[in-house]
Amino acid sequence: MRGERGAVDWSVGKLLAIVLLVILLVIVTVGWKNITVPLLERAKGMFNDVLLLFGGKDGGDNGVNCLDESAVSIDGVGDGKITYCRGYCEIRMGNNYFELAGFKSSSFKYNVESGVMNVGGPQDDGKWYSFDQSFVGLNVDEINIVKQLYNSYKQAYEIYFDNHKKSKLDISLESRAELFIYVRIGANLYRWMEDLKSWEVCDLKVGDENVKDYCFWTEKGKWDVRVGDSWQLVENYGKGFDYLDTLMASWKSGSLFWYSTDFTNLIPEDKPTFAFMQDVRNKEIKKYEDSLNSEFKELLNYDLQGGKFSVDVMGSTSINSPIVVVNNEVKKQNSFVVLRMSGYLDNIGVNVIASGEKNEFVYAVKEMPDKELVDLIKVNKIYEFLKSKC
Amino acid sequence: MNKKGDLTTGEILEIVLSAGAVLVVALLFYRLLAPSFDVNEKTAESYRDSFLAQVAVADSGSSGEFSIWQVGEKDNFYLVYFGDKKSVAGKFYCLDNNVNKFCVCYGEKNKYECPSCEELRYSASMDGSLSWVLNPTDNVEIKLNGDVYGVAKV
Repeated sequence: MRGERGAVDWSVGKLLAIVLLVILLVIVTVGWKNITVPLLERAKGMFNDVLLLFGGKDGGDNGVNCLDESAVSIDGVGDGKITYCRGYCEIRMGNNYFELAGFKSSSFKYNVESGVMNVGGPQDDGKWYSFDQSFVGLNVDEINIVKQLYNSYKQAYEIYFDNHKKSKLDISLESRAELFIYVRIGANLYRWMEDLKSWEVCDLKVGDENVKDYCFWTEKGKWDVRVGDSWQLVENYGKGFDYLDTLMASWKSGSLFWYSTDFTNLIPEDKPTFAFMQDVRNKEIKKYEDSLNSEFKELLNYDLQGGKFSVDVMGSTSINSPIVVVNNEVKKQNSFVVLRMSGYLDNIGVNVIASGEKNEFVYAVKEMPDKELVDLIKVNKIYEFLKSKC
Repeated sequence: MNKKGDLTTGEILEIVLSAGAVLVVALLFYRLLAPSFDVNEKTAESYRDSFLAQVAVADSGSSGEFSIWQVGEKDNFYLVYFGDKKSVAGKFYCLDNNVNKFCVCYGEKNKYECPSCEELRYSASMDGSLSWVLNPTDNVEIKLNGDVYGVAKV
């Protein structure tokens, strides 16, 4: 309303003066500090947010799901690229392939929550395979120790076998480890078969649970019955040596009872008892144990270098077969290695006990070429790296 | 503006741009002035500053003490030392360039936020571990041993 009476002649200057006046009034009323300090703090916070956005300042968790891929160099392994993500980390080693259990891999994915590493991935056949956790449990030193122990065991066994192969006495470890007891009760002939050296892992059912454990813990032996010219397994294998107790209950004084560990040379027994037959079995097991304790132990001791290990043989029990224990003297407080005796070189098993936990060294060390062992050591380093950084 | 009252293209563009600019300025002012006080974030910052103050005590040669005394009904607070890891205990994350970094994190049931972090001059070790979590009500002593902060529960 330009020029009219009572009207304000608005201009930018006047508007600005009013705004400033209002600000001044607010400042006077509320107080300078009460206004400026919170506002400055807010402004500072927002400025930090902007800096964080451009990576210019270190802050807290940025909320993104994955960081951008970045270069990484792992000592003793090589260069690669790593992606850190919420829940997992992934390393790609480019053309650097590692051979593990029959396939090659250059990518490794570590799950933060479970601590499990997978190998394979998009660079390879697109699938991820779980890295054997028993390898992960081993550190580089232990892997080398296991390899050395295997070689020592193999050499000791070969010398032992060579020393006795021409002997007329049947004292080879192999024969001792396979126990047979023949029992004739009246007209029936039975055979007890027991593998003292068995160390294989079986799928077992304990209660309602499926577990893996050594076969001999539950399946200590089998009973056969002679039918014509052949042997037939007794139902449910007789469920252990105690089956003989049941069989012997049918024996009557005056009838035939023969026994032996040699099928062609059965021995008559006038007053057979189950306790007597248990003793026969225990003596045979003891022979096997003794053969381990003496010569073989010396051979193994001789071969292990530098006094870093001490060898002992844990005796057999009714539920266990004898095992050779090789204590690691360097770290005897928290780790030692067990070699389980096995007659065939093909079946040498190596178990590692570290920090009180028993790990089955599933993938037989003997089958591991040197190249693969080197790769395994490197992959362990990758695992340790991921574990320490993710 | 021409005499017929029609707008030229240039004038339309000016108006649109001006309106946009006014809107942006208004939004920024609103963001600055609008109350958005986050209690958890402020609490985390407060614990962070408190821990830093105790680290400074350790720097001076004495031993500092620190604890998170508050146990919340919903969100609990944790002092998490990442070292140079990206995660601790499989539930606290700080996807960043972490070197000697600690954060004050809060949350519940594996949903945690770690907004308030700071890097220490030296690494901090608790029971030999270079990444660790301090739970609510845990009380710790901080000492500088050479070039490592030794953090021990008391």
